[in-house]
Amino acid sequence: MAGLVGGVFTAAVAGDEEVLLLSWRASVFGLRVRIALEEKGVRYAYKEEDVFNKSDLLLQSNPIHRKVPVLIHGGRSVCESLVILEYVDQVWDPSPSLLPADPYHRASARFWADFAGNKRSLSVIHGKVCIYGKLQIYECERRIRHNKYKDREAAKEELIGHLKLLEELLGDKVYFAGDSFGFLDIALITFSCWFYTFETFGSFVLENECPRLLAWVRRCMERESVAKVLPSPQEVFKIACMVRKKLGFVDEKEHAF
Amino acid sequence: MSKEADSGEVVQLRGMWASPAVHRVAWALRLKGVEEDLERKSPALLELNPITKQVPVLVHGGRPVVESLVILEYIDEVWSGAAGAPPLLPENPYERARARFLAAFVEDKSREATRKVFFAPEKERGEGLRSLEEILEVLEKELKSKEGEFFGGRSIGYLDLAVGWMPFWLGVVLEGVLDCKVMNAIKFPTFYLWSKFFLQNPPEEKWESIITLPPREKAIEYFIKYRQLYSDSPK
Repeated sequence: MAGLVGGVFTAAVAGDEEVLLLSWRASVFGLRVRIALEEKGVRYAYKEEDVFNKSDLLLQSNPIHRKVPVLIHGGRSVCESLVILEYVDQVWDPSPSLLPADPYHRASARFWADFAGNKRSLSVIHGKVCIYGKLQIYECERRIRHNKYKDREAAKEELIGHLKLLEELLGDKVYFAGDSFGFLDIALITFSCWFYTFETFGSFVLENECPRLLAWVRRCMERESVAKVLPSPQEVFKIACMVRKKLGFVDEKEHAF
Repeated sequence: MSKEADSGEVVQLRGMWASPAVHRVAWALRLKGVEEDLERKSPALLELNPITKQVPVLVHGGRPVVESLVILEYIDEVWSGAAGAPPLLPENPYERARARFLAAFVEDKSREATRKVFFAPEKERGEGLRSLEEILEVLEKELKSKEGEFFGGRSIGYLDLAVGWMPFWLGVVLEGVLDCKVMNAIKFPTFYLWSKFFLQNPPEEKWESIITLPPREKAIEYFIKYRQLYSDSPK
């Protein structure tokens, strides 16, 4: 979506109330919200935030976490990407429903969506396997991007492990919930635009490790909402390099691009 | 004596007797009038390994649901028409989002904070205690904005269940184990009042014995041992 940086589009209207999303171009969490809004056909305004220089609006609308994404609807703010997804699902057009109808599958979708982004301890998976692990995808990718070699290697192994677990969860299904694109697909697909960055910094090729998951990524990219919203892997890589520089890391890979 | 759920399937709650997360699920089941199948529970089942046994698992019709906050939503959805029990989550989408947001915030922040308080040496405990106080400040403010005694308004709701562990586990256990006070009635008067309401239950027959707690001395003893056991191991 060109021309967004630093600007606010004229306010879009949903029903009688304006919808404004505060986010950051490469935020996996913000991108989730944008995909959901697109899926629901919600007209919304978008404000790009500079995460190194947060706006007053952001700081006021999310005083507890001071992070993107924040959805401001009718003057009230909703924070935390998965909470926003459920909010969007509830407020707007029931078709398509982002969450599955069956309570058990809803619980499963919520659990796995949270696993991907959250630093919670994982104790039991579907009653079959007991794992105690702290770091999930988001945390792993941070370690890969920012840390020294040894820790990066460990993070890489963990990340691949988590992705393989998701691949197992997907199984032979088209999407995570079956035939319909939904909540868990949205929660996970946004990490895919970062895969190229992980692979480059971590020196590995995901196609070798999780081919079926990558096939699912390509299927999701065929959806209009996903294709429209996700930045290209190259763009994300450039942003990642810029962020690393700003945080004071020396980037040995950047010169190649 | 097993009573089955509306859907006709057996309900079992597995987890550690002293765990706050397990209790929050038990309270939700009681609020909805759902009885667990206790016959099939054996001591062996309850004694899962030290790491996993703290996490509640709700097994319904043979299918496990994990993560206590996820389980609360599941219970609310499955037993949505439960006789006499109002919904746990608010109907209004914004209020619902707010309840979820605050529950997640308290859960994440308190996990880290209680770990710090529990395992750090005395002089480093301050940071953890301050984090806990920050949580109480947020909850104090939230309660003041409510009509009614609970986070759920006039009846116990999702957020009440999500933070309901605090009066007992912070107020009783933490004080009993570490002799440090967090629950300050003067600093957080609204929260203090709420905790009284919550623990005592509204005096109506149908609310009887919903908010059950583990035995006080036994719980303190357990957490003292737990602290000794894990304070030497790297986390």
